[in-house]
Amino acid sequence: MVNTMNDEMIVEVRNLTKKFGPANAKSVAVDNISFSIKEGEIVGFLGPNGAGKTTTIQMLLGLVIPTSGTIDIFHKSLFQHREEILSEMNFSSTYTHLPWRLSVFENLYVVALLYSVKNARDKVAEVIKKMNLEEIKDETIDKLSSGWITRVNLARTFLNNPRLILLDEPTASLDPEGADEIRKKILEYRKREKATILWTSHNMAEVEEVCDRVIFLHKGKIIAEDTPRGLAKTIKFCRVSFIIEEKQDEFLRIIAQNKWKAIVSDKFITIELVEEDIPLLIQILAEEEISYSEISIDKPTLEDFFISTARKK
Amino acid sequence: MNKILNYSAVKAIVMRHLFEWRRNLDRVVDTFWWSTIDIIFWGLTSSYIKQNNPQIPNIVTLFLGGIILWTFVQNSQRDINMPLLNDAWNRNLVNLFSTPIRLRDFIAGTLVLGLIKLSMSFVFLSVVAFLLYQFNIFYLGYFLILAMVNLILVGWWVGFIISGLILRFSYRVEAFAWSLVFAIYPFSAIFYPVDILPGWAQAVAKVLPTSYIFESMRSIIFDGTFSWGNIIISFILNLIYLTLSILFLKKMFRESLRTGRLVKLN
Repeated sequence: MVNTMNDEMIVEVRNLTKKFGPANAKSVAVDNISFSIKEGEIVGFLGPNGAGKTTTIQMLLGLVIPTSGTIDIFHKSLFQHREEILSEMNFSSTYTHLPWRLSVFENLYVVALLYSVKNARDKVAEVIKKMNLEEIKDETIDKLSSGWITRVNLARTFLNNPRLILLDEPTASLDPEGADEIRKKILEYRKREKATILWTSHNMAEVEEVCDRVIFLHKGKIIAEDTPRGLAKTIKFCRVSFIIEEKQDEFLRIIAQNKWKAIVSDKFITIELVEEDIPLLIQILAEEEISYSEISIDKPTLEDFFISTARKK
Repeated sequence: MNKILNYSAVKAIVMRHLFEWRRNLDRVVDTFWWSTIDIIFWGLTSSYIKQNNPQIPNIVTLFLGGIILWTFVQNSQRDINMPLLNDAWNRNLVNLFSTPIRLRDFIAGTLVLGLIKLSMSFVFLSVVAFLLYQFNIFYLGYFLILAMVNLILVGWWVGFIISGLILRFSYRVEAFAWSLVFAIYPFSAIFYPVDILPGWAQAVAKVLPTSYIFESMRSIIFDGTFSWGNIIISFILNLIYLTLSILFLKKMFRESLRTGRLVKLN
């Protein structure tokens, strides 16, 4: 990964809390969270549904007023300098739509005006070219596939050359090829402009690939914060998978004796065990003359961390 | 950044809805269709009444003048509410209010947009009324400008109240965008004088700026004169209601940010 970071904190969130509902029955969506983001950093914002990710992003965009806490962006209070700060930020979400009766060009032109972009038409033409949208620029949004719409949404995000971008599941509706293309465009922009990105996604492989650091939220609280690799490493178990066609029962008996967990599906057997036990497992297979045709070892991933943390809590 | 208005954002609102307007049959119908139907219907009705009651003077002028002037109230109110609803229906409110736009820029954009559309519908209706019934709205002279200003202001403050209610109660009250303004219709004395209303209804009419304008319109049609006092009372009432409605809308917008309703409208 290209190092585009410096140590300057451009997002500083302190003791942020958001409660919804009537005074006597308030539900806590975000519960006293604090975090910072360095300039040029890509931070993954993870958590199960209802963890408080979207509410936090909405507060960072000034769309929801916090119950308590402070948000400083570019060293200024968001509540006192909202317009100034938002003019240097942008946001893209799979869950918000562009006006569907407007053409791609018209949509981007309106957004450029909203951000007071100078020479708006020229800037829109430039972004359309960079994002390879020329062939659909006169099409209305309702005629586009979800892949094209995501690209247009992303093009919208680059119009004001933002220093900070908030991305809410930017590749959620895309096939793997389309998602890969979008990730490349975002990373290109980050490298070129040294932009800072806060990225929410349920695609853990994507987060591992693009994020420098991950903040994990659960029930409104930050419960973990580290690099993707660092979080994955907190999971001690790894998985070893085999194809075993003979002596399956004997093999499973040994697994049970060692108190390892096995998942069996026909001739496919997956064993969950701590990494240090793998040599022992292989040794037992050799001693008992249990033959296997294939073996694969999967180290813990961010997804394992996600699932295990969400279940534990 | 702390300019009174962000003109680029105002232009964005105007352009966004004009781009949509030309592709959206619903909005074109809103601008021209219903008012045209009213003109045809009331023009024919008043022509028929005139044929059978020649002793009633200027009945066609009364009805058509009333219809065209009421259009200012109805259309200016709707043009305030439609941009907000349209962006909510398009799930575009989050995109919109996550930009540096402020509520005042959004309101200014809707006002400019409303005036553009109102000008189009006014010219169109005036031509239709003239072609079908040889009715010339400009016969009302400079009173027409005073009436237009006051009636547009009525549409605006009613529109701001409705937008505030939509931000407060969400889609449950979206029907207000088409219906609430008609709550003042019977008390505005568009086709009949305030005097014929029952006492309690007269009391309501007295606090509505519209009744003073339509009373003045009738004075011009029947006597060729009008009272400046009526125009001034109407204008003062409008200023009071406009101020209160803007404060209400600001409060409801702030509340919608606090409760998260703006995002939920999306």
